[in-house]
Amino acid sequence: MDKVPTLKMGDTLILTIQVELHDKTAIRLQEDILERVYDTKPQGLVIDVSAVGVVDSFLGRMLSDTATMVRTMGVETVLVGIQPEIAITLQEMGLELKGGAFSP
Amino acid sequence: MAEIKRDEDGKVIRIEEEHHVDMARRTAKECSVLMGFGEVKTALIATSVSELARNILVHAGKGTVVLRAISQEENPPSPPFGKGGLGGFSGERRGLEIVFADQGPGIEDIERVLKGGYSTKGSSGIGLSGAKRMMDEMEIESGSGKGTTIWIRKWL
Ligand SMILES: Nc1ncnc2c1ncn2[C@@H]1O[C@H](COP(=O)(O)OP(=O)(O)OP(=O)(O)O)[C@@H](O)[C@H]1O
Ligand SMILES: [Mg+2]
Repeated sequence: MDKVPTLKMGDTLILTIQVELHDKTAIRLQEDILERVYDTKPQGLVIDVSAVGVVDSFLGRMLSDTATMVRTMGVETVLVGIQPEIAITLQEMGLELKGGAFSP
Repeated sequence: MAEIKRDEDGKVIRIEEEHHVDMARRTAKECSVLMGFGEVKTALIATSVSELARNILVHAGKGTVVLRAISQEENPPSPPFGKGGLGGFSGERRGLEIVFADQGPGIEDIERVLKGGYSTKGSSGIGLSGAKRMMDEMEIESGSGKGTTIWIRKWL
């Protein structure tokens, strides 16, 4: 995968996860996001996960960690577009996504 | 409970590298959709497969995942009301079974692992117990030095 496709709208950095994330891609993605946040210095980061079909403990942790690291850099993350079946899966699994806020 | 009938041809996926876990997850999703599982159950199945396939890679190094359609007779009819007789209703439920097998170090304390929050790799220890909650059934055969086999099932 090439660099993460991001869009800066006003003070907000928007990142859309478009593909089914593979484990390796997920780790690269995390580094890319942090770099992009550093370079663009947004007020907030929006991660759109509406195209993501499965959030397992690995990806869930990666998203949580990313949001926490981005917060350390002074920027708040909002996860948008969590599909109903993913919300149910996270609940059943007992996995809480920390470090950011949510928006439908 | 009636015996579980297993389809002869299952899908076999070898787990030896990172991307095999992705493949197992993808295949589980495909099988689930093909069998007619809805979005929620498909997500629960795919996530469970992701967890258990990754466990093979992380804790055992390598192993296999086998996905198979299964069926089981519900309320086996008893004579004289059996097949064709009075109230001769014999329903059959269909489902998906996935078997994870490896020859790794095995799980020493299954009870403890199933409680969740326990990991020998300093991780969150949520995978195995989470998969048990997400699926309808789970059976584990394992022990120190005996490798690990895990069966999970979801019924339509
Ligand atoms: N296939 C396996 N072979 C040997 N040990 C295993 C296997 N699967 C699980 N285990 C043991 O069970 C423990 C719990 O597994 P579980 O998937 O719940 O957590 P984890 O893999 O350590 O962390 P994570 O939350 O990231 O999945 C593991 O730490 C490991 O000790
Ligand atoms: Mg695990």
